Amino acid sequence: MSKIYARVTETTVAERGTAALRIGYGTLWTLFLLFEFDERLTAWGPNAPWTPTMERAYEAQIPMFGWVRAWITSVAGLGGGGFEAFYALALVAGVLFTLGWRTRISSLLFCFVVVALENRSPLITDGGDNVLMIMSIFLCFTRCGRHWSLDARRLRTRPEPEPDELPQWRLELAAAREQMANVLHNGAVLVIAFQVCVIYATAGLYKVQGSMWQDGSAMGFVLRLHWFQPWPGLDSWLLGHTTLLALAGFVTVFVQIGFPFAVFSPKLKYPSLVVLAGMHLSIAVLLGLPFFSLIMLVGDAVFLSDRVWQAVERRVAGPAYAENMNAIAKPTLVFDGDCGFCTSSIRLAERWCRPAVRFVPWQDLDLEAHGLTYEAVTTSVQWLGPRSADRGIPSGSAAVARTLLRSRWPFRLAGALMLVPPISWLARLMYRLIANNRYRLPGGTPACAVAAHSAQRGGDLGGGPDHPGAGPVGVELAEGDHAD
Amino acid sequence: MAATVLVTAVLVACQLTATFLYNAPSNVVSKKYAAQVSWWMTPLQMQNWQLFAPNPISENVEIDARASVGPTAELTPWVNLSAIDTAATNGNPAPSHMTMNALRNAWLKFMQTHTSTGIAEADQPLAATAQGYLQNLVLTYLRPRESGRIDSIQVRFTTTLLSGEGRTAAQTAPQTQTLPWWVVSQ
Repeated sequence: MSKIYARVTETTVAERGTAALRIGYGTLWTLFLLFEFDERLTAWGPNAPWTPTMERAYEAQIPMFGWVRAWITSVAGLGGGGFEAFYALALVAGVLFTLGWRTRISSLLFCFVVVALENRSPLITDGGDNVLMIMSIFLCFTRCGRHWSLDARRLRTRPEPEPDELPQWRLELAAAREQMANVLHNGAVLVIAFQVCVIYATAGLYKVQGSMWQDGSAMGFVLRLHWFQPWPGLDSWLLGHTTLLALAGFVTVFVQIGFPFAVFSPKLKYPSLVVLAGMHLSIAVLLGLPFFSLIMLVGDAVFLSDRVWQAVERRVAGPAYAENMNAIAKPTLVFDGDCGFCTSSIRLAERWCRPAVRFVPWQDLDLEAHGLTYEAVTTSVQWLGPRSADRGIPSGSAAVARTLLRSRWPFRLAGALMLVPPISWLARLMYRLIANNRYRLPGGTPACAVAAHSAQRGGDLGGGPDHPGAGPVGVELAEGDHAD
Repeated sequence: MAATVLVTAVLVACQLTATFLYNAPSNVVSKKYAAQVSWWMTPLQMQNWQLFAPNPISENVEIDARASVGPTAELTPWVNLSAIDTAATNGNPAPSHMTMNALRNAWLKFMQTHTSTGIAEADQPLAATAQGYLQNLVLTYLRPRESGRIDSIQVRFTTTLLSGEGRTAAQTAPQTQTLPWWVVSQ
């Protein structure tokens, strides 16, 4: 019991997952408002077909607290200027929430504008708006600003006050506040996860009751509805594949119903999430409901573990991450110092891509100590970075891709793409082609290549003044330097 | 702090139970606690996940409208409003809410509150609202296309059941439902 108590008060679950929800929903809301900008007056303004009188009559049917009624009918009471101001506020709220500026405040503001605007014209909204509204409420209770936010940056840069400078009561208050925030966050995450499960499970449970989902004809009807037909050509092509459509329907229903159980097993969870992501993206394109589908897709992010998000973090962070890792590991690209083309390529890369990577000619290395062979280093560049022992040393295009990943934009993106099939296969082919012909390519003679790297050794290759420990690289590259 | 944990736990338990009962297919428990569940969930957490379920809609609806214009009460030809939406949707990766959802929901709401001849059902307090909304929405399509003063409008729905197993040609023939003329208050 005390273990559980400590867990809910001292730790938080899915901190990065909720941050992903914050960024996802904030971005989608902002984009949605921008896309709807030209139609904002017809859709939500004072002269919308759904008049303020209708809005009040509609809400009067539902019993609710006075403050809730005032909240959800607030936009209906606005005149022309007031409405424009509200729309601008809604945009600002979306941006602030996405950026995580004073998240406690901006999440409340975000929740306020989303609920208020979505309820102005309930008859033009769909399930996506529904989810956005509910999630904006739940997110107010989470600590979704702890990562990837302006708040996080502010806390990182602000020096922490010495504990003995503060009076005791303030320390106690801060600790209690921290615990309370954790408890609320954990409760809200459970509620969010449950809500997503309920959406999938009910959607699936209602479908199995339908004869068309049972006999596999449902998708064939959906794709013929004029209400949802942005790409009629694509629809008629798909309609020719009845078996495929029936299978897609069955898989959708199975995964939806199974989702609440699948989340408890990583082996089932991740494949289910992939299937659901495929479903959402198909809906986005085929039925012309991108916001609906993407809002649903973002909700799934709460199920990705912090470990997965940390891996994403590392991938995206690039040089900043590599610099933080300096003390532990410094990735190194081993190249052929006798090859003029290689040396000049690396000089170009340093100038344009500015990777946070050390370049070391293999001639300066004790090959055996780093698990390298003469064959390997003379045929392709080798990557010595943080890695698990069971995996081999990345080389060739994979090593180039990792260098680009630690470069500045937009090279980082190119690096990420180069690691993804089928682009990675193409990159491998290209690398082989270039590597096999490198002596024919421009870039100077072997002799000047050797001179070039020995002249630069203390400067560029070893890193600038930011990396005082880098020094003459060949000597201090110990095993612990690149082991994870 | 124990109190915070307890209160949060109770609130979360209520939330999960209410969400489940609200969304689950109607059953003895959800019927018994319908009032409490509705109090907890409406209006901020109203939701409906019967997306294309139990069976998807399997009919296409074309909505047309015409107007009586100006002092001579001249009749305009029927304007196909659905075709206007289709044209705006075609090849558009992100169609707007007005284009995608407005006509469909206005039609659904109208059909829920009116008889097949377009007369308001007596037990539907929102019938007048549904009609007024459909009328206003239709006017947003007609006004840019009509320079004269629109005095009254008429709407018709043409419903075509999609062909499928066990559906005869007679069943899949288009059915037209023409609504009475509505006077437009200026």
